[in-house]
Amino acid sequence: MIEYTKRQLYFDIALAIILPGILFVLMVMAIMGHSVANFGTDYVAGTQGVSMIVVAILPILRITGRFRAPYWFLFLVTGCLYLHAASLYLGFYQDLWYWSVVAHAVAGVVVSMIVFTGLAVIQTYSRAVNLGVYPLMFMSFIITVGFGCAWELMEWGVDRLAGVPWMSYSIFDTTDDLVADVVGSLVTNLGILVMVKTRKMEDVVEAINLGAQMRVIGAKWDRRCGLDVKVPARGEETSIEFGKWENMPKEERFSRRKGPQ
Amino acid sequence: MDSNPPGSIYDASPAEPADGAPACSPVGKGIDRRWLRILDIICLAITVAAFVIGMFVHESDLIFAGIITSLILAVLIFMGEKAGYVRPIYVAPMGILMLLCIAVNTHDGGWWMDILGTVPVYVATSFTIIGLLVGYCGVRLDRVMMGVYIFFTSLSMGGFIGAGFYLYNYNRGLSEEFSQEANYWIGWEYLTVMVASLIITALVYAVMKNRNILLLTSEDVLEAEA
Repeated sequence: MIEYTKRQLYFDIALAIILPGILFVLMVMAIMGHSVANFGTDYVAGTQGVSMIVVAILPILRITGRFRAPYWFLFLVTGCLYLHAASLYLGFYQDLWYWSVVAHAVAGVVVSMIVFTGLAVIQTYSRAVNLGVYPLMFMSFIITVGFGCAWELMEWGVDRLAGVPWMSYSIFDTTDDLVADVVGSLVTNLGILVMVKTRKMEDVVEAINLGAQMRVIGAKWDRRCGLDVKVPARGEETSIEFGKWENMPKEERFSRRKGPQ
Repeated sequence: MDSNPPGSIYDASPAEPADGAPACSPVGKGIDRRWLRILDIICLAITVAAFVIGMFVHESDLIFAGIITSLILAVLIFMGEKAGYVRPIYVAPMGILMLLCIAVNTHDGGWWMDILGTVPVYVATSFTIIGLLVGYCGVRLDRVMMGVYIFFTSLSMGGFIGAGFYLYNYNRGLSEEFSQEANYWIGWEYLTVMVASLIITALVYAVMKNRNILLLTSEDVLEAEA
């Protein structure tokens, strides 16, 4: 079991205070009318507020022990949110015509990485699901672009409800954003392609190091799908295998728990 | 040993297969496979005809839809058994429905025609890609993953088609008609896509609750039939 030291605990508490704290300050300053952006107080302050809540979640989960995301994952998500929220406050979206495209491309990279990580974990720790490397990359691309579409819908919904063009501020905003999402996702998948060419997928998943609870989630997933597998106790070491379906004997492949699911 | 026990996630067999029908075929009950193949070809002929008619009447929507559906059907027919249970006969009616909607929409269409016209193409494309993944890549998906996959494929597909039509209409000068609503048009399109994706996902999820037909590959079918 991975040890959670006191030093890590203090560091996480500091993160849980500082990361949302900065955005809280920006939110208050936006409410006081100090925002550089000319998008309206409600929108700028609201964005800082929502981002503040989201960036606090991962450190708090680490402290409570419910999900100890590795720091690279935590800083990736936080950095992406800061890129959007802080730059909105600083007026990048109105001063730099290309900023929206840059922000969406970076978001595409990050979301694609997160989706790929999630799918790779399911692939590795669940026996009911078998994706393979390339279909997995394809799915991470599709899901990222789908997220992009959902985001555009959210932008439209906010503008529609508020009655002002805050989020979709140019005639090609949606199409530009969507293309940026695609490019970002392709960049990530290109990186993944290089990675899987040089390293074994098991090593890649192990390097992600999301902790032992992933094995528990994988086993629970399998049981829900009707597979008769033992759910490992927290911290119990179990082997991981990426191409498990191909390596599994046929008798075992079809040896399923009987009865309705 | 029973290789596909009832109730297992790989159990796709109907309760009592008809005489001479493949043990697992969900469409094999009492229907000769030759007829299925003929139906596949007829469907392909209709979609190709739509494309050709579109060329003659200079209707770009019809040309576009005709090409997409024809390609999808051609791929599925070419794949044959490799596509597992994603058979052209499932996809073709959706493609034809879409073509009909586009044809009607050209003359007198409402917003609901947009939904009727666009949903089928998402379903058809999603299922075709699933067929390719299952048939050629050995992908196995459980119900939840299948739901996730269908939802996002449909959403991203709709997003691209919506964006494509938006740019197309803009280039034709149609966006002027929307006036200040120009920016919102694509939003309505995306809302339609989102609702359609949710409906498709719910349907697939409900169907797979009882029959996980899409999980199978031809290898599994042959194994079950043996």
